[in-house]
Amino acid sequence: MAVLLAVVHALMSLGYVAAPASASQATATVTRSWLLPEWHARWRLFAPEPHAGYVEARVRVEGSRGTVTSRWIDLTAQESRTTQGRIFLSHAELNQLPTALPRFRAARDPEQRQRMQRYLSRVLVSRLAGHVPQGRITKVQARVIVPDWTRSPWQPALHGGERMRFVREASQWLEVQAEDQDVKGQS
Amino acid sequence: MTGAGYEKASVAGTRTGALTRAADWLTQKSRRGRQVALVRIGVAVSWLVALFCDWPQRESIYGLEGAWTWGMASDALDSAPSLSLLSLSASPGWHLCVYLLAVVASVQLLVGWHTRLACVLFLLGVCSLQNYAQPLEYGADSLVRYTAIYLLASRCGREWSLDARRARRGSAQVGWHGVVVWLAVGALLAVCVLGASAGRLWLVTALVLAWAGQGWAWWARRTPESVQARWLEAAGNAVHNAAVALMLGQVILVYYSAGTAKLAGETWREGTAVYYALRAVGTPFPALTDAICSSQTLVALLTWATLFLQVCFPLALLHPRAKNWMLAATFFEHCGIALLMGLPYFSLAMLSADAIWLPAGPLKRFGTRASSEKVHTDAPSLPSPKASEESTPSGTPLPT
Repeated sequence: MAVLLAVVHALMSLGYVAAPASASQATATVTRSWLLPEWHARWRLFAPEPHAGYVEARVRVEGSRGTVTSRWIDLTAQESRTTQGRIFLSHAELNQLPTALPRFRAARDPEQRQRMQRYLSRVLVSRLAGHVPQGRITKVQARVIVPDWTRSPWQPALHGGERMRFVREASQWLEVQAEDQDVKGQS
Repeated sequence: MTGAGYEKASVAGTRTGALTRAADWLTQKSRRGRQVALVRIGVAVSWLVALFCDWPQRESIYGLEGAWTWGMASDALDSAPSLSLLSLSASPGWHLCVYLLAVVASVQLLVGWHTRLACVLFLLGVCSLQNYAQPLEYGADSLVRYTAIYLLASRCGREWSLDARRARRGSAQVGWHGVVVWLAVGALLAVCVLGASAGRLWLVTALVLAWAGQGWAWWARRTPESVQARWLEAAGNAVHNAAVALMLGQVILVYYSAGTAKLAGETWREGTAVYYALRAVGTPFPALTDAICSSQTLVALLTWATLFLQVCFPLALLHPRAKNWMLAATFFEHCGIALLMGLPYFSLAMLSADAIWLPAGPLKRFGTRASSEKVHTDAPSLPSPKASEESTPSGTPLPT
Protein backbone atom coordinates (compact mmCIF):
# COMPACT_ATOMS: atom_id res chain seq x y z
CA MET A 1 0.00 0.00 0.00
CA ALA A 2 2.75 2.40 1.05
CA VAL A 3 4.84 1.31 -1.92
CA LEU A 4 1.94 1.82 -4.32
CA LEU A 5 1.35 5.28 -2.91
CA ALA A 6 5.05 6.08 -3.23
CA VAL A 7 5.18 4.91 -6.86
CA VAL A 8 2.05 6.87 -7.79
CA HIS A 9 3.40 9.92 -6.01
CA ALA A 10 6.77 9.70 -7.74
CA LEU A 11 5.06 9.45 -11.15
CA MET A 12 2.81 12.39 -10.31
CA SER A 13 5.81 14.49 -9.27
CA LEU A 14 7.53 13.69 -12.55
CA GLY A 15 4.40 14.54 -14.53
CA TYR A 16 3.99 17.79 -12.61
CA VAL A 17 7.49 18.91 -13.48
CA ALA A 18 7.11 17.81 -17.09
CA ALA A 19 3.62 19.24 -17.54
CA PRO A 20 4.38 22.84 -18.60
CA ALA A 21 6.90 21.79 -21.23
CA SER A 22 6.01 18.55 -22.91
CA ALA A 23 3.11 16.69 -21.35
CA SER A 24 -0.53 17.09 -22.28
CA GLN A 25 -3.19 19.18 -20.62
CA ALA A 26 -4.72 15.98 -19.22
CA THR A 27 -1.44 15.11 -17.47
CA ALA A 28 -1.29 18.59 -16.00
CA THR A 29 -4.85 18.29 -14.66
CA VAL A 30 -4.29 14.84 -13.14
CA THR A 31 -0.95 15.69 -11.53
CA ARG A 32 -2.23 18.98 -10.18
CA SER A 33 -5.27 17.38 -8.62
CA TRP A 34 -3.00 14.80 -6.95
CA LEU A 35 -0.33 17.19 -5.75
CA LEU A 36 -1.97 20.54 -4.99
CA PRO A 37 -1.94 22.36 -2.67
CA GLU A 38 0.56 20.53 -0.44
CA TRP A 39 3.00 19.72 -3.22
CA HIS A 40 2.63 23.06 -4.92
CA ALA A 41 6.07 24.27 -5.98
CA ARG A 42 8.10 25.92 -8.64
CA TRP A 43 11.65 24.72 -8.98
CA ARG A 44 12.67 27.19 -11.66
CA LEU A 45 14.88 28.99 -9.20
CA PHE A 46 16.62 31.87 -10.93
CA ALA A 47 15.55 30.42 -14.25
CA PRO A 48 15.35 30.92 -17.12
CA GLU A 49 16.83 34.34 -16.32
CA PRO A 50 18.27 35.05 -12.89
CA HIS A 51 17.08 38.59 -12.25
CA ALA A 52 13.60 39.44 -11.04
CA GLY A 53 14.07 43.01 -12.30
CA TYR A 54 13.71 46.37 -10.67
CA VAL A 55 10.22 47.27 -9.54
CA GLU A 56 9.23 50.89 -10.07
CA ALA A 57 5.95 52.48 -9.12
CA ARG A 58 4.18 55.81 -9.37
CA VAL A 59 0.94 57.12 -7.92
CA ARG A 60 -1.81 59.62 -8.57
CA VAL A 61 -2.53 61.76 -5.57
CA GLU A 62 -5.54 63.99 -4.96
CA GLY A 63 -4.31 66.88 -2.85
CA SER A 64 -4.62 70.64 -2.50
CA ARG A 65 -3.11 71.14 -5.98
CA GLY A 66 -5.63 68.82 -7.66
CA THR A 67 -4.65 65.46 -9.08
CA VAL A 68 -0.88 65.04 -9.27
CA THR A 69 1.02 62.17 -10.87
CA SER A 70 4.27 61.37 -9.13
CA ARG A 71 7.53 60.38 -10.85
CA TRP A 72 8.54 56.72 -11.14
CA ILE A 73 10.12 55.63 -7.87
CA ASP A 74 12.61 52.74 -7.84
CA LEU A 75 11.28 50.58 -5.01
CA THR A 76 13.90 47.85 -5.47
CA ALA A 77 16.72 50.32 -4.85
CA GLN A 78 14.86 51.59 -1.80
CA GLU A 79 14.43 48.01 -0.52
CA SER A 80 18.04 47.03 -1.14
CA ARG A 81 19.22 49.96 1.00
CA THR A 82 17.52 48.34 4.00
CA THR A 83 18.60 44.77 3.17
CA GLN A 84 22.22 45.49 2.23
CA GLY A 85 24.80 44.06 4.61
CA ARG A 86 22.30 41.70 6.27
CA ILE A 87 22.32 37.95 5.88
CA PHE A 88 19.07 37.00 7.64
CA LEU A 89 16.28 38.35 5.46
CA SER A 90 12.59 37.74 6.08
CA HIS A 91 10.16 36.26 3.57
CA ALA A 92 8.72 39.73 3.00
CA GLU A 93 12.09 41.31 2.28
CA LEU A 94 13.00 38.55 -0.15
CA ASN A 95 9.77 37.98 -2.03
CA GLN A 96 7.10 40.59 -1.45
CA LEU A 97 8.18 43.27 -3.89
CA PRO A 98 9.58 41.11 -6.73
CA THR A 99 6.60 38.74 -6.87
CA ALA A 100 3.61 41.02 -6.25
CA LEU A 101 3.26 42.26 -9.85
CA PRO A 102 3.94 38.90 -11.59
CA ARG A 103 1.46 37.18 -9.26
CA PHE A 104 -1.20 39.80 -9.99
CA ARG A 105 -0.65 39.44 -13.72
CA ALA A 106 -0.73 35.64 -13.49
CA ALA A 107 -4.08 35.60 -11.62
CA ARG A 108 -6.86 34.42 -13.98
CA ASP A 109 -9.85 33.76 -11.75
CA PRO A 110 -11.66 37.14 -11.30
CA GLU A 111 -11.98 36.81 -7.53
CA GLN A 112 -8.32 35.92 -7.18
CA ARG A 113 -7.37 38.72 -9.55
CA GLN A 114 -9.18 41.25 -7.42
CA ARG A 115 -7.44 39.91 -4.31
CA MET A 116 -4.03 40.08 -5.92
CA GLN A 117 -4.75 43.61 -7.14
CA ARG A 118 -5.53 44.70 -3.60
CA TYR A 119 -2.38 42.95 -2.39
CA LEU A 120 -0.26 44.62 -5.06
CA SER A 121 -1.58 48.07 -4.28
CA ARG A 122 -1.09 47.53 -0.53
CA VAL A 123 2.49 46.37 -1.11
CA LEU A 124 3.24 49.40 -3.29
CA VAL A 125 1.44 52.03 -1.22
CA SER A 126 3.09 50.88 2.01
CA ARG A 127 6.51 51.37 0.40
CA LEU A 128 5.65 54.67 -1.28
CA ALA A 129 4.47 56.44 1.86
CA GLY A 130 6.71 59.43 2.51
CA HIS A 131 8.08 59.51 -1.04
CA VAL A 132 5.04 60.92 -2.85
CA PRO A 133 3.20 64.29 -2.72
CA GLN A 134 0.82 64.91 0.18
CA GLY A 135 -2.80 63.90 -0.28
CA ARG A 136 -5.00 60.89 -0.83
CA ILE A 137 -3.53 58.24 -3.11
CA THR A 138 -6.22 57.29 -5.61
CA LYS A 139 -4.30 55.22 -8.13
CA VAL A 140 -1.05 53.34 -8.39
CA GLN A 141 0.87 51.86 -11.29
CA ALA A 142 3.82 49.47 -11.28
CA ARG A 143 6.34 48.25 -13.82
CA VAL A 144 9.29 45.89 -13.88
CA ILE A 145 12.53 46.99 -15.52
CA VAL A 146 15.06 44.41 -16.65
CA PRO A 147 18.60 44.95 -17.92
CA ASP A 148 19.51 44.08 -21.49
CA TRP A 149 20.40 40.40 -21.24
CA THR A 150 21.92 40.31 -24.72
CA ARG A 151 24.75 42.66 -23.79
CA SER A 152 27.57 41.69 -21.47
CA PRO A 153 27.56 43.71 -18.25
CA TRP A 154 31.31 44.34 -18.72
CA GLN A 155 31.02 46.09 -22.07
CA PRO A 156 32.62 49.53 -21.69
CA ALA A 157 29.57 51.44 -22.94
CA LEU A 158 27.54 50.08 -20.04
CA HIS A 159 30.01 51.01 -17.35
CA GLY A 160 30.36 54.67 -18.18
CA GLY A 161 27.35 55.39 -20.30
CA GLU A 162 23.67 54.88 -19.82
CA ARG A 163 22.58 51.38 -18.97
CA MET A 164 20.18 49.75 -21.40
CA ARG A 165 16.89 49.11 -19.64
CA PHE A 166 13.68 47.52 -20.80
CA VAL A 167 10.20 47.55 -19.37
CA ARG A 168 9.38 43.85 -19.15
CA GLU A 169 5.90 44.17 -17.70
CA ALA A 170 3.69 46.94 -16.42
CA SER A 171 0.31 47.18 -14.77
CA GLN A 172 -2.49 49.55 -15.66
CA TRP A 173 -3.43 52.32 -13.28
CA LEU A 174 -4.97 50.45 -10.34
CA GLU A 175 -7.61 51.97 -8.10
CA VAL A 176 -6.50 52.23 -4.47
CA GLN A 177 -9.28 51.81 -1.92
CA ALA A 178 -9.30 54.03 1.15
CA GLU A 179 -8.76 51.05 3.49
CA ASP A 180 -5.67 49.97 1.56
CA GLN A 181 -3.77 53.19 2.23
CA ASP A 182 -2.78 52.14 5.70
CA VAL A 183 -0.76 48.93 5.96
CA LYS A 184 0.35 47.94 9.43
CA GLY A 185 3.53 46.26 10.47
CA GLN A 186 5.58 47.47 7.54
CA SER A 187 9.11 48.52 8.41
CA MET B 1 11.08 -26.26 -26.58
CA THR B 2 12.43 -27.66 -23.40
CA GLY B 3 15.23 -25.07 -23.47
CA ALA B 4 12.72 -22.26 -23.83
CA GLY B 5 10.61 -23.76 -21.04
CA TYR B 6 13.65 -24.01 -18.82
CA GLU B 7 14.58 -20.41 -19.60
CA LYS B 8 11.05 -19.29 -18.80
CA ALA B 9 11.10 -21.10 -15.51
CA SER B 10 14.45 -19.59 -14.55
CA VAL B 11 13.24 -16.12 -15.52
CA ALA B 12 10.20 -16.69 -13.33
CA GLY B 13 12.54 -17.92 -10.62
CA THR B 14 14.74 -14.82 -10.76
CA ARG B 15 11.62 -12.72 -10.88
CA THR B 16 10.24 -14.16 -7.68
CA GLY B 17 13.75 -13.92 -6.28
CA ALA B 18 13.86 -10.22 -7.16
CA LEU B 19 10.41 -9.77 -5.68
CA THR B 20 11.46 -11.47 -2.46
CA ARG B 21 14.60 -9.36 -2.34
CA ALA B 22 12.55 -6.20 -2.89
CA ALA B 23 10.10 -7.25 -0.20
CA ASP B 24 13.02 -8.00 2.12
CA TRP B 25 14.63 -4.65 1.36
CA LEU B 26 11.33 -2.99 2.19
CA THR B 27 10.32 -4.80 5.35
CA GLN B 28 13.44 -6.22 7.03
CA LYS B 29 14.73 -2.97 8.48
CA SER B 30 14.52 0.81 8.23
CA ARG B 31 17.05 1.99 5.65
CA ARG B 32 19.23 5.07 5.82
CA GLY B 33 18.38 5.72 9.45
CA ARG B 34 21.22 8.19 10.09
CA GLN B 35 20.67 10.06 6.85
CA VAL B 36 16.99 10.48 7.67
CA ALA B 37 17.91 11.67 11.16
CA LEU B 38 20.22 14.23 9.60
CA VAL B 39 17.44 15.36 7.26
CA ARG B 40 15.16 15.71 10.29
CA ILE B 41 17.69 17.86 12.16
CA GLY B 42 18.49 19.90 9.05
CA VAL B 43 14.87 20.62 8.18
CA ALA B 44 14.06 21.60 11.76
CA VAL B 45 17.06 23.95 11.86
CA SER B 46 16.24 25.53 8.51
CA TRP B 47 12.64 26.20 9.49
CA LEU B 48 13.89 27.66 12.78
CA VAL B 49 16.19 29.93 10.76
CA ALA B 50 13.21 30.99 8.63
CA LEU B 51 11.17 31.74 11.75
CA PHE B 52 14.11 33.68 13.20
CA CYS B 53 14.39 35.72 9.98
CA ASP B 54 10.65 36.46 9.95
CA TRP B 55 10.41 37.32 13.65
CA PRO B 56 10.94 41.11 13.32
CA GLN B 57 8.28 41.27 10.58
CA ARG B 58 5.90 38.62 11.88
CA GLU B 59 3.18 41.23 12.27
CA SER B 60 3.26 42.25 8.61
CA ILE B 61 3.69 38.71 7.24
CA TYR B 62 1.39 36.63 9.46
CA GLY B 63 -0.59 39.36 11.23
CA LEU B 64 -4.09 40.68 10.60
CA GLU B 65 -3.35 43.99 8.85
CA GLY B 66 -0.23 43.36 6.77
CA ALA B 67 -0.12 43.73 3.01
CA TRP B 68 -1.87 40.33 2.82
CA THR B 69 -4.70 40.86 5.30
CA TRP B 70 -6.44 38.20 7.37
CA GLY B 71 -9.58 38.61 5.24
CA MET B 72 -7.68 38.14 1.98
CA ALA B 73 -5.81 35.12 3.35
CA SER B 74 -9.03 33.51 4.61
CA ASP B 75 -10.76 34.04 1.25
CA ALA B 76 -7.78 32.52 -0.55
CA LEU B 77 -7.73 29.54 1.84
CA ASP B 78 -11.46 29.02 1.23
CA SER B 79 -11.25 29.19 -2.54
CA ALA B 80 -8.34 26.71 -2.74
CA PRO B 81 -8.81 24.68 0.43
CA SER B 82 -5.59 24.29 2.40
CA LEU B 83 -4.79 23.81 6.04
CA SER B 84 -3.95 26.78 8.23
CA LEU B 85 -4.52 27.31 11.92
CA LEU B 86 -4.14 31.06 11.42
CA SER B 87 -7.46 31.44 9.62
CA LEU B 88 -9.31 29.93 12.60
CA SER B 89 -9.36 33.16 14.55
CA ALA B 90 -9.04 36.86 13.82
CA SER B 91 -8.09 37.80 17.37
CA PRO B 92 -4.93 39.89 17.66
CA GLY B 93 -2.69 37.49 19.59
CA TRP B 94 -3.57 34.31 17.69
CA HIS B 95 -0.87 34.52 15.01
CA LEU B 96 1.77 34.86 17.75
CA CYS B 97 0.43 31.68 19.41
CA VAL B 98 0.67 29.75 16.13
CA TYR B 99 4.12 31.21 15.48
CA LEU B 100 5.31 30.04 18.88
CA LEU B 101 3.73 26.62 18.30
CA ALA B 102 5.78 26.40 15.10
CA VAL B 103 8.94 27.33 17.01
CA VAL B 104 8.28 24.77 19.77
CA ALA B 105 7.44 22.02 17.25
CA SER B 106 10.67 22.74 15.36
CA VAL B 107 12.74 22.47 18.54
CA GLN B 108 10.91 19.26 19.43
CA LEU B 109 11.70 17.81 16.01
CA LEU B 110 15.29 18.98 16.27
CA VAL B 111 15.95 17.18 19.54
CA GLY B 112 13.74 14.23 18.60
CA TRP B 113 11.49 14.10 21.64
CA HIS B 114 8.42 12.00 20.75
CA THR B 115 9.59 12.38 17.19
CA ARG B 116 6.50 11.12 15.34
CA LEU B 117 4.32 13.57 17.24
CA ALA B 118 6.91 16.27 16.60
CA CYS B 119 6.61 15.56 12.86
CA VAL B 120 2.84 16.07 12.98
CA LEU B 121 3.12 19.30 14.97
CA PHE B 122 5.98 20.54 12.79
CA LEU B 123 3.95 19.94 9.63
CA LEU B 124 0.99 21.69 11.23
CA GLY B 125 3.13 24.73 12.02
CA VAL B 126 4.73 24.77 8.59
CA CYS B 127 1.39 24.46 6.76
CA SER B 128 -0.31 27.03 8.99
CA LEU B 129 2.27 29.74 8.33
CA GLN B 130 3.08 28.94 4.70
CA ASN B 131 -0.51 28.52 3.54
CA TYR B 132 -1.48 31.76 5.25
CA ALA B 133 1.26 33.86 3.66
CA GLN B 134 0.76 32.28 0.22
CA PRO B 135 2.11 35.14 -1.92
CA LEU B 136 5.50 35.00 -0.18
CA GLU B 137 6.13 31.29 -0.67
CA TYR B 138 9.22 30.22 -2.61
CA GLY B 139 11.30 27.12 -3.37
CA ALA B 140 12.77 26.73 0.10
CA ASP B 141 9.30 26.69 1.67
CA SER B 142 8.09 24.03 -0.75
CA LEU B 143 11.11 21.87 -0.03
CA VAL B 144 10.66 22.15 3.74
CA ARG B 145 6.98 21.26 3.41
CA TYR B 146 7.67 18.29 1.12
CA THR B 147 10.39 16.97 3.40
CA ALA B 148 8.18 17.44 6.47
CA ILE B 149 5.49 15.30 4.84
CA TYR B 150 8.00 12.57 3.94
CA LEU B 151 9.48 12.71 7.46
CA LEU B 152 6.00 12.11 8.86
CA ALA B 153 6.13 8.64 7.28
CA SER B 154 9.73 7.91 8.25
CA ARG B 155 11.40 6.70 11.44
CA CYS B 156 13.56 9.75 11.68
CA GLY B 157 13.75 9.60 15.48
CA ARG B 158 15.70 6.33 15.75
CA GLU B 159 19.11 7.98 15.60
CA TRP B 160 20.56 11.09 17.16
CA SER B 161 17.47 11.95 19.16
CA LEU B 162 16.19 11.98 22.71
CA ASP B 163 13.94 9.07 21.74
CA ALA B 164 16.99 7.04 20.72
CA ARG B 165 18.72 7.91 23.98
CA ARG B 166 15.70 6.85 25.96
CA ALA B 167 15.49 3.59 23.97
CA ARG B 168 19.19 2.89 24.71
CA ARG B 169 18.54 3.38 28.39
CA GLY B 170 15.81 0.79 28.16
CA SER B 171 12.91 3.04 29.06
CA ALA B 172 11.21 2.89 25.68
CA GLN B 173 7.77 2.16 27.13
CA VAL B 174 5.52 5.15 26.83
CA GLY B 175 4.17 6.07 30.23
CA TRP B 176 1.14 8.13 31.12
CA HIS B 177 2.71 11.35 29.79
CA GLY B 178 2.74 9.83 26.30
CA VAL B 179 -0.98 9.13 26.57
CA VAL B 180 -1.62 12.69 27.75
CA VAL B 181 0.30 14.16 24.81
CA TRP B 182 -1.53 11.79 22.49
CA LEU B 183 -4.93 12.92 23.84
CA ALA B 184 -3.93 16.59 23.63
CA VAL B 185 -2.95 16.18 19.97
CA GLY B 186 -6.24 14.41 19.37
CA ALA B 187 -8.09 17.38 20.82
CA LEU B 188 -6.06 19.79 18.69
CA LEU B 189 -6.78 17.73 15.60
CA ALA B 190 -10.48 17.68 16.44
CA VAL B 191 -10.44 21.49 16.62
CA CYS B 192 -8.82 21.64 13.19
CA VAL B 193 -11.17 19.12 11.62
CA LEU B 194 -14.31 20.75 13.00
CA GLY B 195 -13.04 24.31 12.55
CA ALA B 196 -13.86 26.87 9.90
CA SER B 197 -11.10 25.92 7.45
CA ALA B 198 -10.47 22.24 7.86
CA GLY B 199 -8.23 21.86 4.81
CA ARG B 200 -8.41 19.10 2.25
CA LEU B 201 -10.07 15.87 3.24
CA TRP B 202 -7.10 13.56 2.54
CA LEU B 203 -4.71 15.65 4.56
CA VAL B 204 -7.07 15.73 7.51
CA THR B 205 -7.60 11.98 7.12
CA ALA B 206 -3.85 11.40 6.99
CA LEU B 207 -3.33 13.40 10.16
CA VAL B 208 -6.14 11.64 11.98
CA LEU B 209 -4.85 8.23 10.81
CA ALA B 210 -1.34 9.11 11.96
CA TRP B 211 -2.78 9.99 15.33
CA ALA B 212 -4.97 6.88 15.61
CA GLY B 213 -2.12 4.69 14.38
CA GLN B 214 0.10 5.99 17.15
CA GLY B 215 -2.48 4.89 19.71
CA TRP B 216 -2.89 1.43 18.21
CA ALA B 217 0.88 0.95 17.83
CA TRP B 218 1.40 1.89 21.47
CA TRP B 219 -1.23 -0.62 22.50
CA ALA B 220 0.12 -3.44 20.30
CA ARG B 221 3.76 -2.91 21.21
CA ARG B 222 3.25 -3.40 24.89
CA THR B 223 3.90 -7.08 24.09
CA PRO B 224 6.89 -6.89 21.70
CA GLU B 225 6.79 -10.54 20.58
CA SER B 226 3.14 -10.59 19.52
CA VAL B 227 2.19 -11.07 15.87
CA GLN B 228 0.66 -7.61 15.78
CA ALA B 229 3.85 -6.00 17.02
CA ARG B 230 6.01 -7.85 14.50
CA TRP B 231 3.61 -7.04 11.68
CA LEU B 232 3.66 -3.40 12.78
CA GLU B 233 7.46 -3.43 12.70
CA ALA B 234 7.52 -4.77 9.12
CA ALA B 235 4.80 -2.37 7.97
CA GLY B 236 6.60 0.51 9.66
CA ASN B 237 9.82 -0.45 7.86
CA ALA B 238 8.00 -0.54 4.53
CA VAL B 239 6.42 2.88 5.06
CA HIS B 240 9.75 4.30 6.18
CA ASN B 241 11.61 2.86 3.21
CA ALA B 242 8.99 4.09 0.73
CA ALA B 243 9.33 7.58 2.21
CA VAL B 244 13.12 7.35 1.98
CA ALA B 245 12.88 6.36 -1.68
CA LEU B 246 10.65 9.38 -2.32
CA MET B 247 13.10 11.69 -0.54
CA LEU B 248 15.95 10.34 -2.65
CA GLY B 249 13.92 10.92 -5.81
CA GLN B 250 12.75 14.37 -4.76
CA VAL B 251 16.30 15.67 -4.54
CA ILE B 252 17.03 14.48 -8.08
CA LEU B 253 13.84 16.04 -9.35
CA VAL B 254 14.56 19.42 -7.78
CA TYR B 255 18.11 19.67 -9.10
CA TYR B 256 17.27 18.32 -12.52
CA SER B 257 14.27 20.57 -13.11
CA ALA B 258 16.08 23.62 -11.76
CA GLY B 259 19.06 22.83 -14.00
CA THR B 260 17.15 22.17 -17.20
CA ALA B 261 15.02 25.29 -16.69
CA LYS B 262 18.26 27.28 -16.57
CA LEU B 263 19.36 25.82 -19.91
CA ALA B 264 16.56 27.80 -21.51
CA GLY B 265 18.00 31.08 -20.22
CA GLU B 266 20.32 33.06 -22.43
CA THR B 267 22.39 34.44 -19.54
CA TRP B 268 23.03 30.96 -18.15
CA ARG B 269 24.33 29.74 -21.49
CA GLU B 270 26.45 32.83 -22.06
CA GLY B 271 27.95 32.74 -18.58
CA THR B 272 26.69 36.04 -17.14
CA ALA B 273 23.78 34.77 -15.02
CA VAL B 274 25.67 34.74 -11.72
CA TYR B 275 26.40 38.46 -12.19
CA TYR B 276 22.67 39.23 -12.19
CA ALA B 277 21.79 36.60 -9.57
CA LEU B 278 24.27 38.04 -7.08
CA ARG B 279 22.62 41.44 -7.45
CA ALA B 280 19.07 40.10 -7.48
CA VAL B 281 18.36 39.26 -3.87
CA GLY B 282 20.28 40.31 -0.77
CA THR B 283 23.91 41.43 -0.66
CA PRO B 284 25.25 40.66 2.81
CA PHE B 285 28.83 41.48 1.75
CA PRO B 286 28.64 44.15 -0.97
CA ALA B 287 32.43 44.41 -1.33
CA LEU B 288 32.77 40.64 -1.93
CA THR B 289 29.90 40.67 -4.42
CA ASP B 290 31.54 43.54 -6.31
CA ALA B 291 34.88 41.73 -6.32
CA ILE B 292 33.32 38.59 -7.83
CA CYS B 293 31.22 40.57 -10.31
CA SER B 294 34.26 42.53 -11.54
CA SER B 295 35.81 39.37 -12.98
CA GLN B 296 34.15 38.18 -16.17
CA THR B 297 36.05 34.86 -16.06
CA LEU B 298 35.06 34.11 -12.49
CA VAL B 299 31.40 34.87 -13.14
CA ALA B 300 31.40 32.67 -16.25
CA LEU B 301 33.05 29.82 -14.36
CA LEU B 302 30.59 30.06 -11.48
CA THR B 303 27.63 30.20 -13.88
CA TRP B 304 28.68 27.16 -15.86
CA ALA B 305 29.69 25.26 -12.73
CA THR B 306 26.19 25.82 -11.31
CA LEU B 307 24.61 24.66 -14.56
CA PHE B 308 26.86 21.58 -14.72
CA LEU B 309 26.21 20.72 -11.09
CA GLN B 310 22.44 20.85 -11.39
CA VAL B 311 22.00 19.15 -14.75
CA CYS B 312 24.55 16.40 -14.01
CA PHE B 313 23.41 15.70 -10.46
CA PRO B 314 21.18 12.72 -11.40
CA LEU B 315 23.97 11.18 -13.52
CA ALA B 316 26.56 11.52 -10.76
CA LEU B 317 24.32 9.53 -8.43
CA LEU B 318 24.94 6.42 -10.53
CA HIS B 319 28.52 6.26 -9.29
CA PRO B 320 29.14 6.29 -5.51
CA ARG B 321 32.38 8.27 -5.61
CA ALA B 322 31.12 10.77 -8.18
CA LYS B 323 28.02 11.14 -6.00
CA ASN B 324 30.10 12.07 -2.96
CA TRP B 325 32.11 14.64 -4.92
CA MET B 326 28.85 16.06 -6.26
CA LEU B 327 27.42 16.31 -2.74
CA ALA B 328 30.54 18.13 -1.57
CA ALA B 329 30.21 20.51 -4.51
CA THR B 330 26.56 21.25 -3.70
CA PHE B 331 27.60 21.88 -0.11
CA PHE B 332 30.02 24.60 -1.18
CA GLU B 333 27.57 25.97 -3.73
CA HIS B 334 24.92 26.40 -1.06
CA CYS B 335 27.37 27.93 1.41
CA GLY B 336 28.18 30.46 -1.31
CA ILE B 337 24.50 31.15 -1.96
CA ALA B 338 23.81 31.63 1.75
CA LEU B 339 26.69 34.05 2.26
CA LEU B 340 26.59 35.99 -1.00
CA MET B 341 22.84 36.23 -1.57
CA GLY B 342 21.49 36.37 1.97
CA LEU B 343 19.62 33.07 1.62
CA PRO B 344 20.72 30.97 4.63
CA TYR B 345 17.26 29.44 5.03
CA PHE B 346 17.09 28.38 1.40
CA SER B 347 20.61 26.92 1.46
CA LEU B 348 20.02 25.02 4.69
CA ALA B 349 16.76 23.59 3.37
CA MET B 350 18.45 22.38 0.19
CA LEU B 351 21.42 20.93 2.06
CA SER B 352 19.24 19.10 4.56
CA ALA B 353 17.22 17.56 1.72
CA ASP B 354 20.53 16.53 0.07
CA ALA B 355 21.62 14.83 3.29
CA ILE B 356 19.51 11.78 2.42
CA TRP B 357 22.13 10.98 -0.26
CA LEU B 358 25.10 11.10 2.12
CA PRO B 359 27.28 7.96 2.24
CA ALA B 360 26.70 5.63 5.17
CA GLY B 361 30.34 5.04 6.16
CA PRO B 362 31.37 8.44 7.57
CA LEU B 363 27.96 8.89 9.21
CA LYS B 364 28.31 5.50 10.89
CA ARG B 365 31.82 6.30 12.15
CA PHE B 366 30.56 9.64 13.44
CA GLY B 367 27.53 7.97 15.01
CA THR B 368 29.50 5.23 16.78
CA ARG B 369 32.07 7.73 18.04
CA ALA B 370 29.29 9.94 19.41
CA SER B 371 27.50 6.99 21.03
CA SER B 372 30.70 5.54 22.51
CA GLU B 373 31.40 8.93 24.05
CA LYS B 374 27.89 8.91 25.34
CA VAL B 375 28.32 5.45 26.84
CA HIS B 376 31.45 6.70 28.58
CA THR B 377 29.69 9.68 30.06
CA ASP B 378 26.57 7.71 30.87
CA ALA B 379 28.44 4.81 32.44
CA PRO B 380 28.61 6.12 36.05
CA SER B 381 24.91 6.90 36.18
CA LEU B 382 23.89 3.65 34.52
CA PRO B 383 25.56 0.68 36.15
CA SER B 384 23.18 -1.91 34.66
CA PRO B 385 24.83 -4.02 31.92
CA LYS B 386 21.59 -4.10 29.96
CA ALA B 387 21.95 -0.47 28.87
CA SER B 388 25.38 -0.93 27.31
CA GLU B 389 24.20 -4.17 25.72
CA GLU B 390 21.36 -2.36 24.07
CA SER B 391 23.51 0.45 22.81
CA THR B 392 25.39 -1.85 20.41
CA PRO B 393 22.50 -2.98 18.18
CA SER B 394 21.68 0.67 17.49
CA GLY B 395 24.78 0.80 15.29
CA THR B 396 23.01 -1.18 12.57
CA PRO B 397 24.84 -1.45 9.25
CA LEU B 398 23.46 0.75 6.51
CA PRO B 399 23.55 0.34 2.75
CA THR B 400 25.66 2.78 0.79
